[in-house]
Amino acid sequence: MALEPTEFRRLIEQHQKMVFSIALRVAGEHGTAEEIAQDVFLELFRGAEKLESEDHIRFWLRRVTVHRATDALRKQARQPEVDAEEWLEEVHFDTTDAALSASLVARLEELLRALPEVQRVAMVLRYQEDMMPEEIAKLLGQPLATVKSHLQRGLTLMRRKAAITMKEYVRET
Amino acid sequence: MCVKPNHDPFEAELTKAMRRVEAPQSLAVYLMNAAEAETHRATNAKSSTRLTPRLFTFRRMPNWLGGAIAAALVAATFASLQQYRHHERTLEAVHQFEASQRITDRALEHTREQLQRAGIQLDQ
Repeated sequence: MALEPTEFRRLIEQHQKMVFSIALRVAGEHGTAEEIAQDVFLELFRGAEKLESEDHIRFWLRRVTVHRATDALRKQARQPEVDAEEWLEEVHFDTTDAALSASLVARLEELLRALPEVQRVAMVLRYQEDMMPEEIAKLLGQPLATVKSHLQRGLTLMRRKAAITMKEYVRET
Repeated sequence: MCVKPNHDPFEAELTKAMRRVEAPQSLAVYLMNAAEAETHRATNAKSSTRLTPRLFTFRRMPNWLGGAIAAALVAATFASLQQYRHHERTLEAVHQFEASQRITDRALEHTREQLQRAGIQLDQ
């Protein structure tokens, strides 16, 4: 049975930012991300009676969005190469933090998009969604050790690439 | 494995950079329109179903009804078979009686002839 319109609107308003952001950072393209978000929410609309709580809804939305975004990514012939500045024009986020410039954000997004799929997904869930490795493992249905390996590898790759282009973010060990 | 973001400057910057972004306004508009269209289609589908006459279909038969019909057919067949056999036995009995009567009649006639030849009159 489908959701009531008012309930559906409430869920859209509450979760669209999360769904769209996950889709965008995993799939890498704005138009694709919007299509993914549409599909995910319509699937929620048709079958939400099976979801028992807000936590369950959030878990379901994240999992389905990740799956659809990785499917979209695999269908692409090559890694998306959207220009960082062009990507910056399409999305809207808060850059009022004096310590964080728009170009830095774009640069880090580039580094993220350069990661292999499995590491990119883990990094998005960790640093965008603030999920712990145990939660990520449960969401993805993967062993905890695998998730930790993806996170460590993704962070190392990004740090190394950042060190080449952004010397001020090299961490002395 | 993961150092807490506030202990690692790079991870801290990463967390700031990866804040969620705003979804396009067209997303919510599209979704509400699509949901309304689906609800409308579902409502129409239900209405069209009600307009068709309710025909009895074998799919709606209760499970026990088939067995009951089969049992009734078997009982009716058995009863008619019994009746047929009774009728046959009756006919056979009548035929045997008639045959016996014919034999008896012939025997009596033979005896009368013999008595007449002997000069005995039975009517006296």
